[in-house]
Amino acid sequence: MNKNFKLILAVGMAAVLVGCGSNGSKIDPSRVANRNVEYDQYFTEIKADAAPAKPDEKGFIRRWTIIEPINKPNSGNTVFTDSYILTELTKEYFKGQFTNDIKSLPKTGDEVIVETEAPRAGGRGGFGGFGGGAPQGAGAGQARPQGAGAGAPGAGQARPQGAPQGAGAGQARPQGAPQGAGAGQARPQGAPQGGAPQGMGGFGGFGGGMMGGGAPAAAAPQMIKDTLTWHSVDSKLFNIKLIRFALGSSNGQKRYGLIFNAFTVINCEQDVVVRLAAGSNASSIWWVNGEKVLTLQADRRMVADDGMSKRITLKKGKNLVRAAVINGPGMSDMCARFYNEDGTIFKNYTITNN
Amino acid sequence: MGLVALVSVSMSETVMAQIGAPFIHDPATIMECDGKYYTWGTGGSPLVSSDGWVWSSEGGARIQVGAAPDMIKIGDRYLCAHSSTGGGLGGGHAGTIRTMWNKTLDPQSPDYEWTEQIQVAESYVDEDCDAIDAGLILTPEGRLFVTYGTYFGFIRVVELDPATGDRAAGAQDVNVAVDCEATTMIYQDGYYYLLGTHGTCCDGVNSTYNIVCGRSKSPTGPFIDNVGRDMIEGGGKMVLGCRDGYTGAGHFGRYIVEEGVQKMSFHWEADYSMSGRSTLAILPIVWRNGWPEAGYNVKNGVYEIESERRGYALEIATEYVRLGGGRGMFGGGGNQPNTQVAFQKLEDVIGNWPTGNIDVRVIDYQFRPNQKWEFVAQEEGTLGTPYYKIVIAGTNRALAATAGKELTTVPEFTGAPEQLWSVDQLVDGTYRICPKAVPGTDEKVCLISVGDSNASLGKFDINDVNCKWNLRQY
Repeated sequence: MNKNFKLILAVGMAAVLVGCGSNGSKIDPSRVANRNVEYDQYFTEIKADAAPAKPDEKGFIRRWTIIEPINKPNSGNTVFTDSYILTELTKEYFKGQFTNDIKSLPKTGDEVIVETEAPRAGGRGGFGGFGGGAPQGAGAGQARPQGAGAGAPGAGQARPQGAPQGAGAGQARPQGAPQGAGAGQARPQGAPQGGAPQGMGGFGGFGGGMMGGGAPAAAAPQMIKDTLTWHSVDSKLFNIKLIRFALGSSNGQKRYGLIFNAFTVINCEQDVVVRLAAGSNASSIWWVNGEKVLTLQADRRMVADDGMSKRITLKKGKNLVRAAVINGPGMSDMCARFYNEDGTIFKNYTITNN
Repeated sequence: MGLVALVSVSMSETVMAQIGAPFIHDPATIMECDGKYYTWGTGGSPLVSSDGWVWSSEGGARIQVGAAPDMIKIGDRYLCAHSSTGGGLGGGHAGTIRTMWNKTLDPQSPDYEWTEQIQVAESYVDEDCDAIDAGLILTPEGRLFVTYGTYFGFIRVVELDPATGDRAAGAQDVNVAVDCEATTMIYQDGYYYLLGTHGTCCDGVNSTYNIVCGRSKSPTGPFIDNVGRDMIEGGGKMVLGCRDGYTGAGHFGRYIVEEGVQKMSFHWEADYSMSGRSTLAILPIVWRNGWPEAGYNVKNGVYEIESERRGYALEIATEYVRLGGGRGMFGGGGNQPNTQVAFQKLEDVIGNWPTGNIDVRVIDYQFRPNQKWEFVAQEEGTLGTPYYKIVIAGTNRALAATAGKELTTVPEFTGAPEQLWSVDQLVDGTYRICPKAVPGTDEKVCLISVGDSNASLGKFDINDVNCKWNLRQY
């Protein structure tokens, strides 16, 4: 489908839907389904010298500087034990990755080259389609953010043609399309690798592992050189949809099996004792001014205030907050805010990217 | 070891899961049709039960559905909503929700025929939603809604036409939660409750699946949890997660037996007593401070049966035997060291008990042998709970219903229907205790208090304190 036509269709659908609530029910227009998943539905890229931001009404921090994700192609999320995430989320992939020197923080557009594992092809397709309805002509990738490095914009996502009684085959990720190629997500011919149900013991088998267990592959991973760019963004949602950041900043090439690193700078007028409250999908580690203050282990969904740090002191002036998030397949996102000691939300600060 | 022996071992350990061959994943809300109970799991695999406690796939018919069907009865027809997705955990997210009707769930009936499927919702291959895991609700006003979505992005709700099962005219898909699975909605006391499953699915004994909920005055949300957190921010109050020997509660459905008696159906990701397989489970729903919780079936053991009316205990009417000692009232006894007062034992008193039937009464609990009742689950039951034999601990003297809707205890338990008791936890956490049968009548009755000090059988009324009992263990 032509991208412009898709936009017109989406706007038209929204207009019709908002204007025609069934049975007069009151529905918050902001909650009506929006099927546009373009990068700019989630993020506004900001300049290095952007004016300071404030936390949102509920205190969530929406301004972050995030580097394009590092490949860590786990095929499942069950490996995220305490020791695993401590190892993987504190592994230094490039110089200055964990710097606590606010004066030397990277700026939006800065690039680094890292050696990472190559992504693995093939979606897990754990349910194997279950009786059909697998769309035909499933869509292409997502557009790259404006000014975020090289590469032609990807084609818009196509609406599936909804075959009602399909064969139920899974979908495969593209086979290593180069960054910037703008290639779409391809539907394989026939049953894809990984599309067949694996380890279905969970449905009456013996002790689970239905989704394939998620154990790292035994074979030595193929290593690649990957150029990653930092992006300062303001999220349009309370949470940071990391999967959309990954897709949008990689022309749809990075989706699952990733490590995200992000930082933000909290500017306080005075010393204040607070707790950092955060949620992430999946595991994450959070640092404030170089101190590890919170760990969210295991395969978990993003929940606001899922974890909360011990009391910490944000000092007058600049404070550096870092987050590292890892996920295998599935949604990846994070959210964070501060609480005062008395349980109220702390919002008396500004947020910058330097 | 044979099947019967295996079942017996299981029953002696716990009564938290169904028995038989209750293997399923993502069970639909349980439906009753012509005296049988039905549910279906992902892939359309059926489970059927004639009593609601013993389940198997025999007698059911696989239905042509994809993932995680749900079912609701509207008028005299059954509406099934189900879904399909081409993706899965690491795939795309182009899902569809479809509905279809049937006049009966009995595949042997000449009326058994599913109507043509109607697609009512969909998600595109890469949007923030995966249109699977449908859940149906008919509101008190007769409006029909379906919730759908999974771990990938938003959970949505859209209104359907209860006459056709198709989308209601002008219906909007509304985001109501994030990253749940297996959502559905129920209505209770002025609130709509959105239930969903968090945690890790499908990882056997390591699964962390757990059922959570939020509530709203509107079926389109926002759904807020017990700490004021919106489910669109990931909020949700736990309904049930894990219990000893069972991990990964997921895919909630509610069955209202009658006013005051509610059951939740779900699956355990792993039942340790059944090789870690995924099994159907049914537990009572208890409402506490406006929130649903999974209640408890009574475990085999010795209990005080305490009346909710007065707090007295059910006992067999035998001669009261005083105990010696403990007269140091008002600070008597001086500085002598404390000693243990002996409990009254069964062998101290049983020799003087009548050998025939003995009546029951209700009186102060003093943990005497004639007040201690042993509950032992049997291998048949009612929806979600086994029948129990209820005997005086250490004996085979069994509580029994008599003709005329009264009570007695018989010297030996024989397994007769009037000696079998269903024990259902009620929505307020108390228990209802009902005989399977009463000689000479088909009337459904339960154990009731009559006055503070006597018990009988009478009609159940959730608003009548006389119908409620507490089961205490010390």
